[in-house]
Amino acid sequence: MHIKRYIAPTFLAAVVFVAVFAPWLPLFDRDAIDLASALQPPSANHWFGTDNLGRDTFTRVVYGSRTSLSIVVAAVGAGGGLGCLLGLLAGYRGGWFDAIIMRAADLQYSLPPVILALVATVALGTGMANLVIAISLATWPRFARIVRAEALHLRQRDFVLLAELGGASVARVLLQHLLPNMLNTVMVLATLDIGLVVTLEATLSFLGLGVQPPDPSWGTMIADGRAYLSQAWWLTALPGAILVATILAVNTTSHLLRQRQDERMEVAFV
Amino acid sequence: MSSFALAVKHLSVDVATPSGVIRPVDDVSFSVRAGRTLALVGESGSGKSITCLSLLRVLPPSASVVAGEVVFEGMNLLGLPAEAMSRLRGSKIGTVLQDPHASLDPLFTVGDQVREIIDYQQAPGRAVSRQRSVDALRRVHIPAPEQRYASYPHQFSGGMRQRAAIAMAVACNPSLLIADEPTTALDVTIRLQVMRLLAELQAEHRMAMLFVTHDLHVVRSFCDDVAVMYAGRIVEQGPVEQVFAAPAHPYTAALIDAIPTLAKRRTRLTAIDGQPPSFTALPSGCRFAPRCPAAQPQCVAQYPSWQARPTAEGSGAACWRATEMLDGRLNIQ
Repeated sequence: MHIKRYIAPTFLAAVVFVAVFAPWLPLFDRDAIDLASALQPPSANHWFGTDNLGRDTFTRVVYGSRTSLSIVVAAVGAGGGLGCLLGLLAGYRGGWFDAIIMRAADLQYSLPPVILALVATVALGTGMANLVIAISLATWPRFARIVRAEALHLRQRDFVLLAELGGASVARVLLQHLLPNMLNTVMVLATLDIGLVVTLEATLSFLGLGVQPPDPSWGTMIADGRAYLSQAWWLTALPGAILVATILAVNTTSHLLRQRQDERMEVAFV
Repeated sequence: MSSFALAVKHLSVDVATPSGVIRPVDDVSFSVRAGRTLALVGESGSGKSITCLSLLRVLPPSASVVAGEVVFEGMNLLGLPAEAMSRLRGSKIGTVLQDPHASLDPLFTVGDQVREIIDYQQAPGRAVSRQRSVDALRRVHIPAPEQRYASYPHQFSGGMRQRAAIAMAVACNPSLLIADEPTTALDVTIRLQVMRLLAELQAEHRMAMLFVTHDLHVVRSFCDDVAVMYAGRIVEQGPVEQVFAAPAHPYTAALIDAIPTLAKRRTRLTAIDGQPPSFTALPSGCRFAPRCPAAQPQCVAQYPSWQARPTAEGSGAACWRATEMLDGRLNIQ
């Protein structure tokens, strides 16, 4: 077996593990201000250096991962779930339902996602749940459109007709036959969406509408560090590197999962 | 009660296309005798598949039945509530489609797909439905059905997949099997096996079968009755032996003449000159007239009325010259 295959999943597992068990790990106090040791470069003691208030950056990256990962999971789950459901129904049912959903998606597309999420947070107020709602509102149309296209295509396949002839309910046709057959596409979309969600979260937090200080999130940390870019590169670069590595690991892992699925189906689609 | 398992009466289907509304199924009537096989033959685009879809009430949204009746076990299927129709389709009417590669969902094991149908229709509980689907796989002669139950479709060959698709169709012991070109996508050697299997299942369960095909060899060897479709209409119908021995319609005659046989192997294959008419520009008279070697002015002017064949009830042809053909006065060769 290739050892390379395990790098990305292992990294991802480590990130999730550290995020989940952060309170029990030997880390610094994430909010402890120590102005005497402000803006220290990375060292054996402070792996990722310290910020302008002397807080340990590594500790804050770890706690930031808790915020960022839960927002990502919730927002991709909510936006993706909603988009998949609407897309499946639109593609399968067609007609007026399809027209309404797709026009709503078009409408959504005509507004920049940031503006939309901005309006939503202003209307709903700040807080994690509202942030997730705001981000989901901006991300569902992509899922809906692509899932609809897949559903339109799969609906033509004979096994769907045979399931209907056999007496399968709409829900069963959608969830048992259509959705599993487009899982590849949905997974690619979801992984691509993760990057977008992190960016949106960072943007909203940067504007003061997302995660509120002193709670750390990757987005806010990268944004806050910009002010000190010339003196303290590590404040932006190191959380940024972790963010990039995490997204990369998610992409690679989903690619590996898809490959495994393809191996199961390869003969079916030659 | 008649001895017909399925009677289609004056069925017409309209389809909306970008170039206007067409009628690919026009005043089609035929009937399938109980326990017998009716072959519905015709070239591609003659309306065979749309006829099947409308019997099953799964027409695409652009198509709709505008007239006619489909009588199955005393009920008009076209007037049945959707719920009752859905029950009927899985249990009393089985369906086999052309492409065995598309008939099975690649993500589920073959056995689970057979079990799914049993679960929908009978919901007998997990262990029983599993046992019944293994039985169904055994009935279609899949070797070692207990082991093959857990195989995925891609682990099956084309012929095996079609067997599995047939197992799905007959899992609930239907009294009518609609088979839409079930052998077209298969190798010639496998074709014979699948045909034998269908004939065997039919005898075992006394199923009526509507068999759509354009393979006249299969029709001659395995079917009882034949209905010939041309450009959306039935042009001839009757018992297979009689129709093959003495066709009453020049189109049927030409089709039979085009069958390659060993006796004819040194000559070129015969074909019917010209193309079938487009549904957007149908001739006002007989639709075969432009290609017909025996066409007369009357054929072009007026659509032929149904001329009954005296030797078999319910059979005949839509041709002005059918009587001449049957008498042997007109010979199309």
